[in-house]
Amino acid sequence: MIRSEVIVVGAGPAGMNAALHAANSECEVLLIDNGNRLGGQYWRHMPKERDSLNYSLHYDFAKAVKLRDAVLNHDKITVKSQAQIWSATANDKGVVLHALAPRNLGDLPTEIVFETQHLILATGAYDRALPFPGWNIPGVMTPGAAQSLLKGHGVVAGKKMVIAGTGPFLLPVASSLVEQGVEVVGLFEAHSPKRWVRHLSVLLSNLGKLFEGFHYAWILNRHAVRMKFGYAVVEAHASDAGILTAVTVARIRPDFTILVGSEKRIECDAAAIGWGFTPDTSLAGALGLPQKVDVDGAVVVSVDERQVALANSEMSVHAAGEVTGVGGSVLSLHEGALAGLSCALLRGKITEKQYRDSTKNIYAARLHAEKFARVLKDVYVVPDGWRNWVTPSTLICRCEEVSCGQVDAAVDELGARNSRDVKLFSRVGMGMCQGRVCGRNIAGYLGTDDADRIRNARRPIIAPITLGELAQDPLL
Amino acid sequence: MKRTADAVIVGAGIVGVTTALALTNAGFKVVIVDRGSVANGTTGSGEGNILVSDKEPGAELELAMRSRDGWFELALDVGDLDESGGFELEAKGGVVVSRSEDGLLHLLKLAQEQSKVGIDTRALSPSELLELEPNISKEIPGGVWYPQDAQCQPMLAAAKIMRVFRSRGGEFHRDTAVRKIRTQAIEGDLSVTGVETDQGDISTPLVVNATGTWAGDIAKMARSSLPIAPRRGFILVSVPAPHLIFHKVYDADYVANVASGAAELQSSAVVEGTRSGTILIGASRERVGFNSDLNVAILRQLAAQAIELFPILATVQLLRAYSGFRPFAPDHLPVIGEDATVKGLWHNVGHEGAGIGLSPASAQLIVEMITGQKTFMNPSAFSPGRFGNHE
Repeated sequence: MIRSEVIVVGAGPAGMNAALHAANSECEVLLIDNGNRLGGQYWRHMPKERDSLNYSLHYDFAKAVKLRDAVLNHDKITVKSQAQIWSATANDKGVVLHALAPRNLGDLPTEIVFETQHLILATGAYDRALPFPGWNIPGVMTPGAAQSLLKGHGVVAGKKMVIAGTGPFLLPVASSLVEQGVEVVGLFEAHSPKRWVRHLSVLLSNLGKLFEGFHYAWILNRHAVRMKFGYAVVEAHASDAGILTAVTVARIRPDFTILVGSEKRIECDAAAIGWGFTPDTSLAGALGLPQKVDVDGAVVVSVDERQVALANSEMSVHAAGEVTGVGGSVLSLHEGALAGLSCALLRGKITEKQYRDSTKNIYAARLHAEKFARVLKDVYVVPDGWRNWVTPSTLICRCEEVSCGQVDAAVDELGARNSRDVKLFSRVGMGMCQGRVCGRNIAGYLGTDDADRIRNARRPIIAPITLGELAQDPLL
Repeated sequence: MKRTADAVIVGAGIVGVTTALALTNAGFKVVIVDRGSVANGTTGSGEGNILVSDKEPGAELELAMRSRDGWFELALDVGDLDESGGFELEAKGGVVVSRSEDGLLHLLKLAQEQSKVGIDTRALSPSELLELEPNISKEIPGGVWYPQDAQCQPMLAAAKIMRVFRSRGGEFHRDTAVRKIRTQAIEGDLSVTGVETDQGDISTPLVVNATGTWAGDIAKMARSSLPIAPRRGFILVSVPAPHLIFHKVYDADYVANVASGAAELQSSAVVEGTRSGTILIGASRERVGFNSDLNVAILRQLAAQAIELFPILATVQLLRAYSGFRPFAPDHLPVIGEDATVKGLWHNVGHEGAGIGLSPASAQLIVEMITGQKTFMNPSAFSPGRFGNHE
């Protein structure tokens, strides 16, 4: 068993910054992450030797390198990479995490139990995919998957690609793909840019973001790729061999219903389609942290202004970054800093006055970033109109191959009313992903309430573990 | 909501829906109420066991034998025109094994007694065992084959029975919590006159308590009592791994664990493959109230015991785990019959881990008693009066 004064789970922007701020205030910090390298999904990158390529793939990679090196070189921070937490419990005295990890670099993973009185959760988010006819054809993926193929392995997902969905993330993905020689035959944003009009003041007070947008627009323009607004991919087509050959795009209304007659077919061999992000609350749910449904419909951990999700006189659990609500890397960095400093305060490493002095500017910066995040959620909202894109034969759960028609039958014939009923009657969400991909869509498809969404996001087993690994007692 | 009914069933688990259907078939106007939805309690956490192998000769085994046939009759009655009833009913057969020579002798003796009362049993040599289950540990000295053991998908079964119940005129009110059982002294006897729910009241002379683990709460609402307590069990579910395990295979220790009343943790390996390809692993028993927190130590023990029976499972991934609460009566027997003090209040509860298997016969028995017919077996072992007054 390994104990640490503070444990941070997740080495993305929020987790790294939390670790750094706690460590700078003299806390002993253990940073646990399931990746091979620090950075998380957002700063997923190549090994250090290839930093030159990393700089070209990331708009703000200098910031990532600075933070990564500060974390790696800090004598108060121990990093445990490749550690997959599969079970976790919290009680009045602290938190116990069960993880599979190599004991030493290069070992096979075995179970390691971690204990702490102060946990900072920064488990991030993953892409959201929406179902439509053909979304399960190989070659249809999320922008995050295309991005991680490129950044993690240096592989491009296709030669002729369509990129679609909604949100600012489509721009960096399209830019890095065109720069690596992919022919982007279509770039489609579901919403109209007019939605920014009522938020112009916020946009102008975030010039950095605006410049980042221009940076991508400039790259895309150089490759003659122009974004079309108000379109979505509503169908994908496969060859007899089951390979993606084309997608159908259609004009959609602001509520995401299709304008009939506007459909057109575009030949492509890969399509990256993303509808924002879903926070990864698996660990939070296992720990029994308070959760709520955010304005974008995502289940998130609910925290107070100090990023505290749960605390008593002996222990605390903080949460920072996307797991408390999708808001981007800048907001995540601020939340991480606040969580790290709050831990230091609870450990008595800094005084209340020191906490106040050092957080004053961060609070202001977080507020500013939160405003921007709220605007993004409003501009790039995903309304329920996507339910009209599916047909009874469209799969809604890919793992168990359950179609929308089977879900309809569970509702109409067997009287299912909530996510759990539908799961028990149709096996939806019972497969490998345990609802991580489909759970949110099923709740949306059924139109269930917040309590149902939160209950449905609970998964006591956080990640699969072999029965052989489970049977080994790590304490022996 | 209907304001009057011939009978109100409280609880839409497997016992509630089978009882409701049997009463409807007998001509009653029946309303089911449940504070949640169909199969939201213990039924929704079960493996769907329909077993005759795990009971010693006696009243419960007699009920189990009738019930096993009852399931196949039910599949024909409510099913989707296939022999599985649309709820994965399957006579997959049970294989009971023992890891020690001593244990095997006990097991063979039990099988002999069971066969005397009509259970189909067959002793298995190690090579016969390997023929049935090629991946079983070669260390196991032998076992017994019970071809009558069966399984169904209990949530689907409950939902399909509910569908037929409603198509025959039955009424179901979900999200309807019972607040009170109304009673009145009639000719000196305290008798049921209706139920009060948070969605309105229903007048009825007959209430069937089918709330399983929560049965004591309902009894209390009629100022009676029942000593039913939760006995927690965990189930591990693997990723789909078809063609590894073909029957329900369990350690003979399981029979002893079921029969024990101890509060502390007991566990014995119960391993089975399902139609969907996943492998289910049980079974733990402990009395810890309604606490559903995941207990890693128990999961570990269940995994280790399963691997002892099937070493190949060490490489199979665990996908999820969940717990459920068996309705436990002090003598492990179900409670089927009219309340000892309140006329018109009937109980069909306390089936512990066998509620899925025992429900069709329990429904038949209680309906035969309610309608005053000759019962197919002597129900006195299941009498609610056997516990005395617990108030």
